[in-house]
Amino acid sequence: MAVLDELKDAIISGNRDKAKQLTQKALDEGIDAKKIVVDGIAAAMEVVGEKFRSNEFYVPELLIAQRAMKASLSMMSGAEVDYVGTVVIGTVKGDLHDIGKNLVAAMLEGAGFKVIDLGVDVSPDQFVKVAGENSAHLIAMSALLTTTMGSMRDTIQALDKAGLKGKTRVIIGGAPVTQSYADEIKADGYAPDAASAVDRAKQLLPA
Amino acid sequence: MAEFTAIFLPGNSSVCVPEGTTLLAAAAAAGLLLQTPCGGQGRCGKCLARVEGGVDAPTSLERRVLGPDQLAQGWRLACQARVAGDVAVTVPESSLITEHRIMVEGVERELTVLPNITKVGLDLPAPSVEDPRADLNRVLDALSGHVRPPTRIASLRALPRVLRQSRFQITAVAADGELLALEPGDTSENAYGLAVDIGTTTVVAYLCHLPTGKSVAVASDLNSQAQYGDDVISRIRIASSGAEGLAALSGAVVTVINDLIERACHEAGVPEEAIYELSVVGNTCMSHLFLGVSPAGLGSLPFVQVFRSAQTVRAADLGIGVHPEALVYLVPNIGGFVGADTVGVILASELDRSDGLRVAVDIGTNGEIVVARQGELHAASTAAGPAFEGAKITQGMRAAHGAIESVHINDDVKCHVIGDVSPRGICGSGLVDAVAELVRVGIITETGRMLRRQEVTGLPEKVAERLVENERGVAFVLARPEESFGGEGVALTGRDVREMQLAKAAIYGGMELLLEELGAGPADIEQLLLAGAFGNYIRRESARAIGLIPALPAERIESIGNAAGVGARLVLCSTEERRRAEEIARRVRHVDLSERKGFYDRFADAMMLRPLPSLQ
Repeated sequence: MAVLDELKDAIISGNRDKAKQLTQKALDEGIDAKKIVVDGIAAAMEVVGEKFRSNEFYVPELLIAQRAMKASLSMMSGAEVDYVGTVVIGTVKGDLHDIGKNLVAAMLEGAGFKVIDLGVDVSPDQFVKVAGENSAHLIAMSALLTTTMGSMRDTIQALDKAGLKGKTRVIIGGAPVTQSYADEIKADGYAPDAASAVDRAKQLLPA
Repeated sequence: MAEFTAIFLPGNSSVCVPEGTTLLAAAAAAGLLLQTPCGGQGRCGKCLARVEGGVDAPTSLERRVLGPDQLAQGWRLACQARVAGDVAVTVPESSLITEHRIMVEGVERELTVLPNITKVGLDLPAPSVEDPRADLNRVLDALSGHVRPPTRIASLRALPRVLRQSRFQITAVAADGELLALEPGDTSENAYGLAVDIGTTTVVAYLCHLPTGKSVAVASDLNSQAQYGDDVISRIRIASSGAEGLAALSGAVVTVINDLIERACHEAGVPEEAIYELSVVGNTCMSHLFLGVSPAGLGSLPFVQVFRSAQTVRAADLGIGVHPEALVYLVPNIGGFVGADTVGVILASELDRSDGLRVAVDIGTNGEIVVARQGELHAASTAAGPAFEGAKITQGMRAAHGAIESVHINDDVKCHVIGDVSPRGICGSGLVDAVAELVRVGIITETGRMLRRQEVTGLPEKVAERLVENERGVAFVLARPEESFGGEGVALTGRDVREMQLAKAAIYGGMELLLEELGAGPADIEQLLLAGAFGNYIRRESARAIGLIPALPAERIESIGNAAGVGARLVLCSTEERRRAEEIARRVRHVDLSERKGFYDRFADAMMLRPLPSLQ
């Protein structure tokens, strides 16, 4: 399917306008939306993730690829899509820094997750409430400040209290966060960057 | 608990410490300050030391940062490794906090000398049967009622002794119309003040002669709070951990200031007791820590300060070694992290009286930006991070001896090194230069990727062979091992370029967003002022080429040196300037950038390593 390959390339190189045109073209050609998402968008984001892991891509390339992806995805609204899982994401209480969180959200979206983005400064109760309402598979939390990362522990405890521990798993990340911190607060997963966050999130989905 | 001896080489200083003490703490006890930009959390890998003898097993953090080869050779992170027996520790120079270079001069501008401290020599009539006035009245009457009696009991108690010992020839010292002290004889010319700029990284003190407003000596040193972390967030975390942490941080900066007082007074031949007042600027966190006030509220949303307005306190209450009755005037803060130092920059550069669009940028660990037009002022801070001060860059260091500060590429690479010695690292200006040059010759792409050797064509052979690759990725060798201090070589890695990219995008994107508050863009800037040490040493062409600052014509860009320090001097020497500073602090609107819609997009665009704003 030539048009989907072209779309894939447009997203990888971050060409937003071209990605939009090609998405329209694919729809006009009568290609199923599910197929566009899987073979065009998700395939592109997988390549982006690979390039990120091999240090060929970094935040700027990720940012522009993600903008192109979002433009393409937005034209697909209303179409039936099979999500691989549902994730509730946000930066923790007291933390405004959302660039890393946005990247992870975009990568997850590109990988076929239903992403419910609660934005910044999200309280433990909000995380737990929204996760419960949507039967989310995952809560993804980000903190950029050593002074705010303590709120991650509070969310995990609130999740426990709500009886959701085990049903909804928790993945964390952000500059000051480490695997040992994740172990300490009993988070299910940790990822050092946006590409590995996707891998880790997939591993945490129920079999 | 068992105690063991730790010997530190090459200095051979030894110290006895309890089992379990970190090597970092042991080194500090032995008088060695090690680099800990991450605050001793085992993340930055800067406090490397080579160990022989009794230490515990490497932590998982160390295994990640150091790798098996280094660990096998006995390298450890001093902040993680703990004493478990008698131990010999070799500390390489690159791990030490060493001599550094900072701005001491700054823009000079006109000021009306009108100090808060006034000294008047008085030749009083001795009491007699005809004139039995009380001692205090005798003094106050001679000052023609302009001065109020002292509020401190010590001054009253000293009064009769000073008057009689000096046969009623005395000098009255007043601050803001209140009698502060009396001195025997006429010492009215002997009046000094100290203007202090507390930076996150360095502290500068200017000793000023108050009657003339002239600076007579300058001293500067590293802010020794750096041992608790390079950035303000690490320090807030420690200060919030309890009274002990807060006391350690405020004690650290007071110790530095006392040391600077001693040095400046010695240089100028002025006794410490001749200093009657200090004026102090710093970012909000520095101001809080200086007064021993907890900055915990600044650690998370909604970033609440304990105080914003100007504070006047007694120097003695802070433990500062000057005249026992001396005062400390702390310049007011603006909002969030934007503090008194930014008020100082605005005051020194008179941004509050600008007609045209003027912008001041102070590039540091916390990058502050001010935009001004027709009296309208907006300020913001960006968490640029410490990349420009050397942290987070593999071989990054501060602008000290041995730092590569500029880079040129032609047939080969030519570096200039501070102090003309063998290079051992790269500082902020060198980093900007190296990236700009590597983008120019095509080794780094506009999106910030350092290419592999086989991906670039047409490079001079000597340049091409500096492009190397190892298990950690690509790197460009600026100084070969044989040319460098310690024989390790100095290289810029692909990752380093990425770190710098994030930092510069935060500054440029922040500036763009702030300009929007005035409905303007970077191209509209009539004058761009670069404050601070970095602004002075950076090559402007390089900064423009990679889009750290807007691509404006050279005549619209000006370096203004340590403008925050100049601001501190102005308020020290003039009460008019003090009132103006207070008005500035009230007038400036603080903008929280990360709350703004559009920051994300701006940030993404500002990452590109090309002249900005883009023409398309």
